[in-house]
Amino acid sequence: MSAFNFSFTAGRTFRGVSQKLIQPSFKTFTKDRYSISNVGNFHRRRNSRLPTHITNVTRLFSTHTHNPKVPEAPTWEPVSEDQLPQPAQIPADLVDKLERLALVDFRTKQGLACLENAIRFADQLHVVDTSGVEPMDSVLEDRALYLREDAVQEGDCAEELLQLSKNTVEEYFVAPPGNIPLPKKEDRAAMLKHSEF
Amino acid sequence: MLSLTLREVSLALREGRISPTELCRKCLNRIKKTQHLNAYITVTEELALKQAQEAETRLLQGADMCVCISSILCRVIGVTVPSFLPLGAPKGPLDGIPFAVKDNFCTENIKTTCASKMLKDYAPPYNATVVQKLLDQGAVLMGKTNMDEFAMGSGSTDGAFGPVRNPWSYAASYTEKTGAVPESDWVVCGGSSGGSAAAVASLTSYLALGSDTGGSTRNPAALCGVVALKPTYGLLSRHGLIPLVNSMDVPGIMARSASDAAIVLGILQGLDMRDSTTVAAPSSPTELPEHFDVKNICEYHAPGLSEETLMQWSRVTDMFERAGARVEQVSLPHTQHSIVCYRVLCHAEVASNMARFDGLEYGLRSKVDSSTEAMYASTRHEGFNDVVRGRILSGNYFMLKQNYQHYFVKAQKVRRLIADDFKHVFSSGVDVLLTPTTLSDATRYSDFTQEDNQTRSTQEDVFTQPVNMAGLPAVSVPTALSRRGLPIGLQLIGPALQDKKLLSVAQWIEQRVGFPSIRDSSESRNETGVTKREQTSAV
Repeated sequence: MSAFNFSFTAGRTFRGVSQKLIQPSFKTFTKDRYSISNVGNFHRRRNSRLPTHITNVTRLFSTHTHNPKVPEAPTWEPVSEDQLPQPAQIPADLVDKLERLALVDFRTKQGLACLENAIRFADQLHVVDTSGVEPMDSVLEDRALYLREDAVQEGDCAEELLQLSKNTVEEYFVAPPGNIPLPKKEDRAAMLKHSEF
Repeated sequence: MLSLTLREVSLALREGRISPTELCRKCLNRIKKTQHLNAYITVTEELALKQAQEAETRLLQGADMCVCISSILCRVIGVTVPSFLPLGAPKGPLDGIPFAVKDNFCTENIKTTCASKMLKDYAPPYNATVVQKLLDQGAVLMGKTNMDEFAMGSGSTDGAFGPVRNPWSYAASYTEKTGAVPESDWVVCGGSSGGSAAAVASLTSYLALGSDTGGSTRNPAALCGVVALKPTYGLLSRHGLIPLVNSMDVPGIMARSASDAAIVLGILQGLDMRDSTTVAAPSSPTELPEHFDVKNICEYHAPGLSEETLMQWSRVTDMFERAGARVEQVSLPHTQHSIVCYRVLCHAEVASNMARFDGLEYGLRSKVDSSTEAMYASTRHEGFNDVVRGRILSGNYFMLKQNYQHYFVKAQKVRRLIADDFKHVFSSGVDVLLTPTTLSDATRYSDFTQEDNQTRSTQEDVFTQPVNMAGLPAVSVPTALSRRGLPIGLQLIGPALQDKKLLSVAQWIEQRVGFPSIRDSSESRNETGVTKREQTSAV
């Protein structure tokens, strides 16, 4: 990736001004002082000749010159088809397996097309070189997280929780008979059709 | 009164210029007037009035402090003391302030639907930690806001209760500049916390909670012209937030100004015993740097960035430079692949998280009961929309044994590269990164729905989701109105746990850009015979 760095060192007086500008605003964050924002203080603190407001937006659009620090053109290089591996074919039995695992149906050809697009999109990952890189599970991996005492502090809420369910008997949630596999694909469509609102 | 910031209205309550119940009624009326926006799924009118009444009692008791002090003086002097009420005091800056919560946060005995048929009648038996903290401070809950189903989407158009309309669609700045007719040309709010952003922007509440997994708080905030903070991962508790992607979700704060967001952050941050992924809040920052470095990320000029957003980016960079900040362009070489990585990780975690919805213990339950599997399958068929189902299926695909290493683990590795890019940049002395939040201003609903949800998410989340991958804080600040009269926002990204500093920089920008209030943009329609909907009430 191309990168260009312009470094720009400001003059001494400006540096001092910027510090003072930020400090008063910081004070307003303490909980017990919730006074209205102190824009006025900015002027009192220093003789600043900084622009304090922008007036006319339309005027701005016409006279604004582009800041060189902001990239003028997109820098992304699109990933071309030949960089990607072969598009994955999804056989019918894999579709069936996914539906059983997820207990969610594709419903239409559109659903299958959606999946294929998602896979094709994800294939772009493979242009990135990740040799020697460990997978990252969590952004908090460098910290020791808080552990509380292993003592029971709450619970006994069975009644509240049972009320949330549609079908209960005494202290049990009632489920239809288990250990029966999902019907075959052809029968599934009929079952789902009947269950539709 | 309704267009003030949280700070200002809190002061008004304290000074007695308005009472909490009056304020609550004003907000409720405004909600009724802006019903066409569809920002709220549930409006908790009775509860709000009750809470406002309690806040009012507390404020009055606080006023009785004067009575109390004078009675103490009486005792000292030796005069008989009149009986007085027990001492009470307002709870803090949020006492009596109306707020709204996105509908994927659990609220006790109030319907929490996640804009899905699956949970349309579900009322949790507990409050989410962040909601509880706000209620403990005396804030008044207005209602639960609309969103994309299960927070999947970037337009707030795919919920079971209909899409959310951007309040700026009805502002004079939009209708006059483009000649648009709001009924047919209304623009989307952004997502997935569109309802929360619309609630704050349409002046029905002073702050709102959203959730941010890939930009879901910052995106609608930029399109609706409000400030949004995505805190550092782990700073705010996720207990009670119905999860989408456990390793990236955070509750987000939307408010009218950066200092409002800071007040709320101060209240909500901190360890929670019920969420093991929380970290301790940092002690209040003391020094601010002598001069701060602002860097623009050069890879963030993504294809499709609008000319106006680019101009705003350039304009704010100019402002920083003139003030003496050191500005440079930096490279985050793996950012381009971030959206792909996000998609894979998101789908995989979604597949796992959505597995809990089977109709047995809560939520919708199908009438099919030939077997458990059949019941689960048909419940999930009825309860989830296409978007959710599509993501579950692709997530399951990526996690199949034959694909696990190839896709999921690969994505985790790319995630580390992206997080390392940010770490590298911040360790080289950068204070804050400045980037656009969205590609352009809000799109018309009729155009937005031309593409499917997945494509739109890919396009809209491009600037916001790398931040979630790295778990860093980010703020979106509205900077100006576009040529179409709609808000444009810019994003600031900071190092982990430096949320307050980030908010100070955001406040600095806010004070200089002069972003107009929606009220200003809505006046002067009277002479053209405005319909009742388009009128903004004079408050």
